[in-house]
Amino acid sequence: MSIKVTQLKKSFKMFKRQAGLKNAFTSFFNRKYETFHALKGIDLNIDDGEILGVLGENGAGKTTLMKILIGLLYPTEGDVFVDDYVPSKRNKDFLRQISIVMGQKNQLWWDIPASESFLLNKQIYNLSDVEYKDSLDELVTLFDVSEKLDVQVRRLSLGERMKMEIIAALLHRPKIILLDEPTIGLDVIAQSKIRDFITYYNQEHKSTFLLTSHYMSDIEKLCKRVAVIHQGIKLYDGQFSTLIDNINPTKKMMFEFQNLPSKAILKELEEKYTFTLENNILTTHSPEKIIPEMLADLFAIEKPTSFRLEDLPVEDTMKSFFENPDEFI
Amino acid sequence: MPRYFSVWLAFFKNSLTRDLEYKANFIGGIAVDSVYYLLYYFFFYTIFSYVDKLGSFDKEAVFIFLVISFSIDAFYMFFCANNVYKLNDYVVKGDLDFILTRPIDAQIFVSFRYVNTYAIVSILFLLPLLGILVFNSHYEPNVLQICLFILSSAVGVSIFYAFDMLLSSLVFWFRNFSLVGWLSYEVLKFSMRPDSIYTGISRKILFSFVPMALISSVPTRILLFEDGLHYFLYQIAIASILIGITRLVWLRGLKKYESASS
Repeated sequence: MSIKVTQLKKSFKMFKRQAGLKNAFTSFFNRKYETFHALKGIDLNIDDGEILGVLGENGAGKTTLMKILIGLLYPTEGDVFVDDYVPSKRNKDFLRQISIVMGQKNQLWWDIPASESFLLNKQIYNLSDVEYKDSLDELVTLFDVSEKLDVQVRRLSLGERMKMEIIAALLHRPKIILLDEPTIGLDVIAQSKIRDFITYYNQEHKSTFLLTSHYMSDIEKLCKRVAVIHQGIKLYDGQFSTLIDNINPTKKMMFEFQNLPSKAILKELEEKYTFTLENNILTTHSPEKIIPEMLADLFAIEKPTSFRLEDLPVEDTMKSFFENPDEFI
Repeated sequence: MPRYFSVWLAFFKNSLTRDLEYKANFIGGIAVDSVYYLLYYFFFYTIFSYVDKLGSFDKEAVFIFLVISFSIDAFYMFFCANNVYKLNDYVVKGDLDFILTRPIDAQIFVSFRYVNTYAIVSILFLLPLLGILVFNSHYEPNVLQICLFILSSAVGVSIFYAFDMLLSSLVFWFRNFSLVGWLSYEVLKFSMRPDSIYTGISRKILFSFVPMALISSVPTRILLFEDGLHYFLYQIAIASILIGITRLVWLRGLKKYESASS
């Protein structure tokens, strides 16, 4: 077991005041605090070499979970073991085996080329020249950034910068890699490149990945298993495909007629199914079990010019889930 | 320890690469230091147009003391100053995150991350100046005095650092302590005057709770006067206590660190 989290709770004491100058004065002398429960008893086990997606809205507790796993934050209650280490003790051997990439924060020095920061990491992680060269060559080749190594970080594009951030985080070949929104703000090509990289790296080095992303295509393509956190509570832990099926069991079907059927036949269809008809194309969003029967009826009328069956976009599905999670789980 | 030295060398190299990129900033830093030194020089020059001595320090001793103070300040600037004052920002913005995930001591990382490379110009100017002033004065320090002076100056830099770091670490409790730079600067002004001008309770405070008199005055006494040895032992004792307290406060503070939302 790579990561084992039991009944993890994390609370923050937060200063609270209402807007306005008067309230600012009042709170200066009479400060009011409230406790914000970021995580409310999370259980989570992650196996070696697994890629786990952590889903949740902004403020759900995903980043807090990651920060506890890497030892930045102390748990309020509960147990956390990462490869048998207690992260909050910040054991140096533990820190050599783990790494984090935060899409919204930089670890690279802004004013110098990324290659200089890599050399700094070489010293920090005490890498030999051979280890450093092997690792750097592999990562640079995978990301195809050899020509950008000596360019100042502030002159790189967002996508190039993120690739350099990932290289900096993986130079020491950590066993556990936490990726907090690594593709945020990137164009589709850069997103795809980073996804390909994660897949390759996971297969090649058997590293364990924990990934948060608001782009469902990241999760869909990388994570078989996901954990869904909502307001500090784990709502779901299982196959991503099962979650999607639970949330939205309907499929979209488009059937293009060669010739529009008679009004009587269409009326019969309308009595049995829900659909729209436009330019000879019948479109329906129906439960999966209805589709075969409907398809049989349509083929009985005539062979189509074209026919398509597809799942609803995952983004839309997850959006409807987060709007009302209790309805689905 | 050799690994920490390699890490520091990498810090130095990165800092130098960055500082040389911004030529005006580099030269500006040297200019600001020069103005600072001149202001102090004229301040004491004016005072000595009215008096012959400041306590047990005569005019020559005071100007030697000044150069020693500037040198200790320059060493501190070179190694730590830029970093210690940045701790507030690290905590407020959550930038301490990446530092805490490194397999090296976080206090050392925070304290030495950015080397103030332009301060080396001041050091290269001040150390020969100190030699010239002492050589041309009526003081004649022996080899032992010179060796103890070098050690005591290093201890002085460590007191400077420990005091600054202690104040800066309070940000873990205050959540934002951006005035720490100014507070520290004002308190450290006490170290830029010879200890002989302080008497009574203020002298006791500056030799104990706020040990500013131990930063530059003690190395000066060791170099110039014969009563320096017991001051040196006292300086080491106070420095050890202060460094210990600073370490304790830092470690307790880390437990209060809450990062910042991404």
